[in-house]
Amino acid sequence: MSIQIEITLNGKLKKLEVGPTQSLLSALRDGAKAKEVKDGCSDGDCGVCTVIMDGKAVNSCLVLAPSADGTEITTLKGLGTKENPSAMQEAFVNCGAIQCGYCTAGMVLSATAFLEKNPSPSRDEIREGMSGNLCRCTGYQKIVDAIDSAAKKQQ
Amino acid sequence: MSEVKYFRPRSYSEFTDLLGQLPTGFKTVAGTTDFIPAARRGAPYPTALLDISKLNEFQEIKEEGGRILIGAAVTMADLLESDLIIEKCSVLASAAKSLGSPLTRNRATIGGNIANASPSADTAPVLLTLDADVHLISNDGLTRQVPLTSFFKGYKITERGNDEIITGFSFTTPQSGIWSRFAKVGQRSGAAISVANMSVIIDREDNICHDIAVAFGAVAPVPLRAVSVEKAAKGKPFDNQFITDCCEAVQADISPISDIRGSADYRRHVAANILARALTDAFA
Amino acid sequence: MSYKDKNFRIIGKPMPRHDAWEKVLGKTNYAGDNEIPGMLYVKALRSAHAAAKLVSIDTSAAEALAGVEIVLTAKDVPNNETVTKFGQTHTVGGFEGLYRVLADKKVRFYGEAVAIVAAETPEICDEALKLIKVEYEELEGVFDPAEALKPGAYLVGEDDTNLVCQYKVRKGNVEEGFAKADLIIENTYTVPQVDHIYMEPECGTAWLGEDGVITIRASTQVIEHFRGIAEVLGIAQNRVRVIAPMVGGGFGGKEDITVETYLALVVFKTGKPCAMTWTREESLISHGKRHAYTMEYKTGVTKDGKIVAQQVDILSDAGAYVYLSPWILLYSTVKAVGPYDSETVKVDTRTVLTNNTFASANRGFGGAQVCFAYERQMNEAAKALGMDPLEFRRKNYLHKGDALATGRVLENAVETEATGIKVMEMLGEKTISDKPNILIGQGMASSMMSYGRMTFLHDTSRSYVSIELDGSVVIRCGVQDIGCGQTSSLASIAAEVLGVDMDDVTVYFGDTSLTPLAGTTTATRMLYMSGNATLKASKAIRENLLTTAAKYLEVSIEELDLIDHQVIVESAPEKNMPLQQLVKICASDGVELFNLAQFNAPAREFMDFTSGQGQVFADFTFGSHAVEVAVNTDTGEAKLLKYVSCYDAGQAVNKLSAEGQIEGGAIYGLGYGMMEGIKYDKGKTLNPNLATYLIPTTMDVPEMQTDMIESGGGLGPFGAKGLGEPSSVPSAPAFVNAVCDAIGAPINDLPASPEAILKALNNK
Repeated sequence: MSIQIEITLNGKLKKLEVGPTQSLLSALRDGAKAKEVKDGCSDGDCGVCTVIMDGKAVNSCLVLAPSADGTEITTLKGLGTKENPSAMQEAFVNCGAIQCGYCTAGMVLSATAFLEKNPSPSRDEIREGMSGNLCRCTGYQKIVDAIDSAAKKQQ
Repeated sequence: MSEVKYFRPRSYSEFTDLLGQLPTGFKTVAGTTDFIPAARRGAPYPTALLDISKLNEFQEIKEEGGRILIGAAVTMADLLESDLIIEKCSVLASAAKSLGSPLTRNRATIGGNIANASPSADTAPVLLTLDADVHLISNDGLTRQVPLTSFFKGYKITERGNDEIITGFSFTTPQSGIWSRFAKVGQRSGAAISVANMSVIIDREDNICHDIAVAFGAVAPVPLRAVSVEKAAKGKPFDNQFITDCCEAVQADISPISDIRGSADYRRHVAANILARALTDAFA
Repeated sequence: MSYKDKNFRIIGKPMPRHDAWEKVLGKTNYAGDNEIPGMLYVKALRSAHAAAKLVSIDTSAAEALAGVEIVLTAKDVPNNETVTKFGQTHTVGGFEGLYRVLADKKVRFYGEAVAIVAAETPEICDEALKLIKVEYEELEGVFDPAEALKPGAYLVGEDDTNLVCQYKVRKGNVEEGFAKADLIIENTYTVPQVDHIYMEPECGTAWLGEDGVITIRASTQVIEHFRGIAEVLGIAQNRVRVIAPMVGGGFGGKEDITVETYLALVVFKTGKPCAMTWTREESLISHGKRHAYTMEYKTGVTKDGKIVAQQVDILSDAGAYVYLSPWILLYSTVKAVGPYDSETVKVDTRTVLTNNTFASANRGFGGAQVCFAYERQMNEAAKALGMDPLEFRRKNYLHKGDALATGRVLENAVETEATGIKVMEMLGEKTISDKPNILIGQGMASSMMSYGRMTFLHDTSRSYVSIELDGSVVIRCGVQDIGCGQTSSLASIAAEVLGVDMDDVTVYFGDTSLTPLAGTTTATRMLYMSGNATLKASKAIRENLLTTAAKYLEVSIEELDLIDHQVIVESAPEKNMPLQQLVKICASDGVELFNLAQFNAPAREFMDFTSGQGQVFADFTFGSHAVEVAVNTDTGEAKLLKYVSCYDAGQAVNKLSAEGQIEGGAIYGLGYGMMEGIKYDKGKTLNPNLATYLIPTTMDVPEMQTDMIESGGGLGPFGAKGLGEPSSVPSAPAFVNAVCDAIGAPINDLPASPEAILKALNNK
């Protein structure tokens, strides 16, 4: 059974053929060629594949592709450009929050959705809000710094 | 797997129209936070998927006639952000907040948490102590309500028939002034799966435990009410003996196993310890 | 501010990394992101048994499936078994062992690849894998290294023993040392196998170049595996090209060959492009782990706190294949007693094959295991003496000019003591608990960890630097960038020396056909080796530029400098000239504006294996961590309240990156202390996913405070030392020492999980 879905990917309408048990992650990477969405475990345990779906950060590996029909999805490429980056992207670069960069895709989106909900978080709240996104390189310190700094900048 | 059919009703009438038409062996899904990992591990695919995640009727949290009603597709994020739940049933918000990570909480539903009957399901002990009912509707349209206390039949086996769909849960709004706690022991602080969890609701006055409901998860094949603890505590005054009796009683209630997350011995220890801590704090 | 007066513009400053923008914008093309038209998907059939005889493999049904291109088993591999001395993947010199592409005759570990399938879609691969019929005859296997050493033990490989190798170090007579001791502290420490859990599982693509060269673009720390791949295929080494794009984390786990040979074989056999990406489960069960050790330590101390005898016995579980086990064990042997002096030392170490997943490189490379043991031992000794742990360490720290037990004199900066003092100062007074079920504890650990490969490996690195006509700079260097800023550091170095900005430098990296070979991104060697090569090349160009400028401007070369795209004439600023103009002058005069430099690490001969005397490492990085924890006595959960660390970085090249290494290393090591460990049932991995193999989340990690000493005493560029591995080594013992301080009971086995802590409390 092939199902046609329509998503708004980074502001652009996109039609995709998906299978009933296909994950949104696979539909984005293989179908929409959105390779900026990464796969770390396919199991919802690492947060690498995080996208913002209708305003909420979700593990795209745990979303059934057909159930994403009609949703708005934001990936890293939808946040900003080098000329016009989002505050979060800029903060990640300037605070040294990026090492290998593989978790970054999910991390920045999680952080963006988190600040939408909680614009002036404490550092503990940041840690709570980011606990679904694993990073093996940074020890998280500079990631928390970046989110903290983006929050302050946005105020 | 290409033969799996997919149904996603967008309104309650679409949903009821589907009833009777769903093929035998269909599976209800919503957040799919359990379904996808299980399928990856080789769980057989169902004949069809019924996706109830877009049904407004199943996403409601409301209070009616002294009872709180929670739709099956209500997510953990919905619960922990709900003013009604925070105000009148904070213990459930606390369990919801402990489940998984913020990412999974945006997807994982209360219906799925109960339907999968995982021993470690974090909302289960809370709903057990709230004496919640499970609302079911079958493929032929019949509805029924089952007390959660008789819903879990065995390891990952429930009272729900194969053709039944969980539509929601309801329970009497807890009285104001009761003391409650959800406690969880995990292997790490963030995104932890329970090695043991517990919900306690106590109606106490001065030093007397008038009424108590205690339930545990991850310490038996199913989440369960600690009936021996409740019997040992009800009507008794709080003192050291009270704690000792309750902690002894809990060992009769639980039957933990050793698994990848912890030994049976550890589970017995922490179950008693978190119970003792809760009781001490409740009467402090 | 310039390179000339060592008042650097770029070096040592906190700078955003040059690769960060591409990463944050989602533009970095990782090894798994490549799609080639018509490419096949490759998957492996993995053994469901840890020890079994391969009776037969029937691939006919899989081959007949529509969409399947090819199914390969051991018999199809030109050279399925290869042995290479001093290679990064193969048997290491002098030791018996092998690299086997696909399991043959006998399966040695659960998850070992038995066959590979290449098909049009991943789904067809999955179907095909199910159609391969493998007949196994289960064998008893051996899963405990001590059992594996017993006479008559099950033999993992084809040799008549499971022992891979053994080393010893002897300094003085340890019995005499113990006779002088007032107190003897004896403990056995165990550490489990752990995984790297880089966020990017193993992946890559491969294709046949138009020139007929088999090209593999993979997530690897070692592009120089092209040699090993060529050997497997039986073709010339110059017919294989390996490209490493930005790697999504390595930590040693991508030091051995992973997907490369499978991809190369499919291209070799079919001529078609292909891709292979491992699942997280595959990654967890089938790549090398950090070795599990059992370590017996016996330490003799005098009443006034001097160590007079250290006796160490280490048994290492090499797992199913040798891989890098002998070298890792040698690292442990040399570092067994840490950065401490002892009048007498006796170290004996062995590594043994078992039917567990093979063990190989992991950040720390034999340094992490022994640090847990020697630093726990330091604390236990201090406790037995009733002495403050830092005070006790201070009586025994090695200093510059002192000799290790191997006789090697520490010629470079040794700031261990300064880092130890600093971290305890930063940690401050112990927090007072305000709850009856919370116990607070503090702990510290110091470590020594080498950077750079072992000196008898005669390590080299090459880097090519050129300046273009517009003044922009190109570096070509065969480094693999695994996320630690390997390429960014090179950009910093060239920019500093040539008076340009980091943005003006483009680094081409990680391609065996286009970038000069720079060696492996392992052993904390990239900044040291390729940094020095890049510095050497940049200095040569600077020299050419300034010589030409001096002639042209008729001033002495000593008066010239290169700052912010300008040639500066100190005595006559009116003569200052844009760099671009000078470059053009050089170009028209035929002055070389490029340089290919090779840096050779100091080379030594093998150590004397009978006494363990000699030099194994060029230099070490020294540092300390300190931790404060709150232990919940109800559950055993230990919450970190403070984490501080201090290293002698020699000279930080990029302050932000150096801090990032120290912080990241600390938490990598903290996972080892708190929660990590592969669990086995007769060789079968019980926790092959991230729901059961846990690593720290944001909530498990406290705010960290990092300090650096910059002694300038390292062997790297500008006196830098390496930080990548050293920063991860002392975390586990610092954490466990803090927990032991809190609960007043010892924990000598990792991980110190909540369950282990509660057990220690209950057994008190």
